[in-house]
Amino acid sequence: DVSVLRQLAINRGGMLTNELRRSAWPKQLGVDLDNISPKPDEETLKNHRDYTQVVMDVNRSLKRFPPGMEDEERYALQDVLISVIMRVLVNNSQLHYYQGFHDICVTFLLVVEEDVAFALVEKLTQNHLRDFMDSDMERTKNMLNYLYPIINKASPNLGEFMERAELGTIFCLSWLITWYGHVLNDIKHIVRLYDFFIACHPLMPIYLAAAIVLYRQDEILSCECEMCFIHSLLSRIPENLPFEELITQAGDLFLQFPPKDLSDEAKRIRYDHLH
Amino acid sequence: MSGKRKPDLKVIIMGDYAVGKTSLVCRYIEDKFIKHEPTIGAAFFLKQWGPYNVAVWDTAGDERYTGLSHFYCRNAGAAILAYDMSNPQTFESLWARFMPLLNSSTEKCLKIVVGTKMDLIPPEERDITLEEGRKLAHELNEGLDISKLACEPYFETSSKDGSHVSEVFECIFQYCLPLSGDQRSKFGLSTSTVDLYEKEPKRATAKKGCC
Repeated sequence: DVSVLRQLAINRGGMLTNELRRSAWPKQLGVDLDNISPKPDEETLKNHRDYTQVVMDVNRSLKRFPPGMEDEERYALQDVLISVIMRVLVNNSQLHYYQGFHDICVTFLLVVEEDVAFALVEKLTQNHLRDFMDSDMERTKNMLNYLYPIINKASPNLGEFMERAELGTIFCLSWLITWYGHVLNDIKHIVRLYDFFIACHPLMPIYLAAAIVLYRQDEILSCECEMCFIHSLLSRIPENLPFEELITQAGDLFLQFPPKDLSDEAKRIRYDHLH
Repeated sequence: MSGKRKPDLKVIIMGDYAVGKTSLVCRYIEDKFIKHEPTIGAAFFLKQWGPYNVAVWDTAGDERYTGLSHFYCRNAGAAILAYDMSNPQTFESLWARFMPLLNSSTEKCLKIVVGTKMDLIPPEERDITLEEGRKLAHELNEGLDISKLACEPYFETSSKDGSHVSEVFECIFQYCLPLSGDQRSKFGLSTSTVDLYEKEPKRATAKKGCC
């Protein structure tokens, strides 16, 4: 039952094991594993406009593969990753590749096999990831613009400090569009967050960003009120963050300040760095 | 990072994806050459130049992030426009994509054109000549008095072997934040003038972590 799975995904620890994820993720996303569209031929994948960039990005994303993995094995997995990404793009010509999409795809590939990874990611590109895949960043920016309204409500002091520093939202761009896959080192933390995000509203990564920023409020306030220092501080996420508490906190912020109450404010925000 | 105060100079690095922007700045700051992941958004590095703090902003090359560049260009004292010497398209991008960005907001900003991956291309196979590179660099700086600049606003580098990497940054820093010969020796910097084509590849000596 999907609602039970959702509850499990949000509750402490999430799905706990990859074995559970392999059965739960397709169910939660409504993916029919017996009906995955077949892989187009290599030529079609290679002729896509984004192919060269995808290959270059995948080839230099060594950090995302498990540290002990043999080179040969990794090369093979990188080829599979390229084909997962290209299948999504070829099947959905309205979607545009973005740097960071490969971070999403590799996370799935480390849990499920090629065809399932493709089907899950393709499903996500129809809802959770859709706004990142336009030809420009307008809708991604609009999502980022929810951050300050949340922080301002939860901690007006901190919000004011960050705005005075002209910090903007670029520091958490990669958090949002890779679901933290690009910035966390431990795959266990990453898949735990994926459990949470799959089960929740597409803006939940922003609520988690707010929870992280609020958690680090003392560090931020003791920083020089200057964009580059705070950007540096925040763009590195400490590995020892209490992720379970932060997930709960993000959920609480979501209930307290739901997106519909913030949307007007988010639309009004026109930080000049976003233009 | 020492003395958390406002940086005295902001330098931004722009250019197409995978031309080696992050490799260039990391070769200079950490004197290392490793494979880097694509940069998402932007990364920030701090470098000490004599008594000054310099902030170096490394931006994402992905075309969709071009809109963010206005933010990074603001108040930049210098911009490094990087292209991959083994991929002429990336040189075209400097004209097509990055020149318009710079013209609007940053008239007083020094522009330095930097060819990367020199080690990958034998001189006889080059598509972009030294003259073309210099020509673009001079055009970009029209309206700016670069007579004080101790070098051509154009460099050809290899982050892999370190060729001409520190010269790029030191030429910029010396133009924007001039240090006297005395100051340079006091802070352990080379006192010779920068000469791109006669000097052996020199490695940056200062070790400072990315911040």
